[in-house]
Amino acid sequence: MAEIKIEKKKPVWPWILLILIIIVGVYIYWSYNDNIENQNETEIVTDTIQEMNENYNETPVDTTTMEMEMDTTTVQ
Amino acid sequence: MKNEEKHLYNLNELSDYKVASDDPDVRGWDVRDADNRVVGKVENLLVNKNLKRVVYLDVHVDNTIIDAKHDPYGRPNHIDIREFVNKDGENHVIIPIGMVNLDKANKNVLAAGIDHRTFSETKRYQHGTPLNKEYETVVMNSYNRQVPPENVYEDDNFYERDEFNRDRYSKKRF
Repeated sequence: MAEIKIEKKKPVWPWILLILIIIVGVYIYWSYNDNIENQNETEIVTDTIQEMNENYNETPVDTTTMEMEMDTTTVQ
Repeated sequence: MKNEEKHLYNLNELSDYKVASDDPDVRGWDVRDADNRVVGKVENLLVNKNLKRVVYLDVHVDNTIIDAKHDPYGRPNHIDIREFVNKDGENHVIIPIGMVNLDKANKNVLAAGIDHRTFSETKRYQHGTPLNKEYETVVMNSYNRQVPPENVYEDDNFYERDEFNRDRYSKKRF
């Protein structure tokens, strides 16, 4: 002979909440990592420009000797 | 029927309850009588929330039951006879869960202890009508017409009868 029991359904909302928390957590983690990478790129570009300027300032070009040599050859 | 304090619920009404995972959901299954004839289909499960189990199957009966000639079931003279007529639109009947077996392979509900005549002579009700204890008692007396009729019951102990217990009812002889 038959017996059919009934039971309470398990609520779904805790699982939905957990999934949302995970999604938000992953989003925050990616955003944080993205910001760190952007900061590193800015530092590299700034360092490179500064290095180029320093090199340029350290090696000035001597133009006086070149003018004197040119005058001597045209007199004849 | 009078709308008394509700003690039976259609499982469809209870949005936070379902059939236990290790028991079959027999809604939609055919119901067969003692001669293995189809007498109807299970449309709903009537549950008692306190007992957390199905106590009746709500069966939409076949036209063969409705069209069968109805005679009020006979009683010895010393017992009051309740006569009733099934009206048009009254095409549902309840069966205590302990009075059936489940054929899971073929999805059939087997009411081996109830013949076609008993089904046709049992008082039916219209789908959606709230059930009261008086109707339950009338139906039980119809299915157990070999024993003197019971009075209307008062509390959930009514469901401790053999008709709602598979182990005890299986030991009965028909």
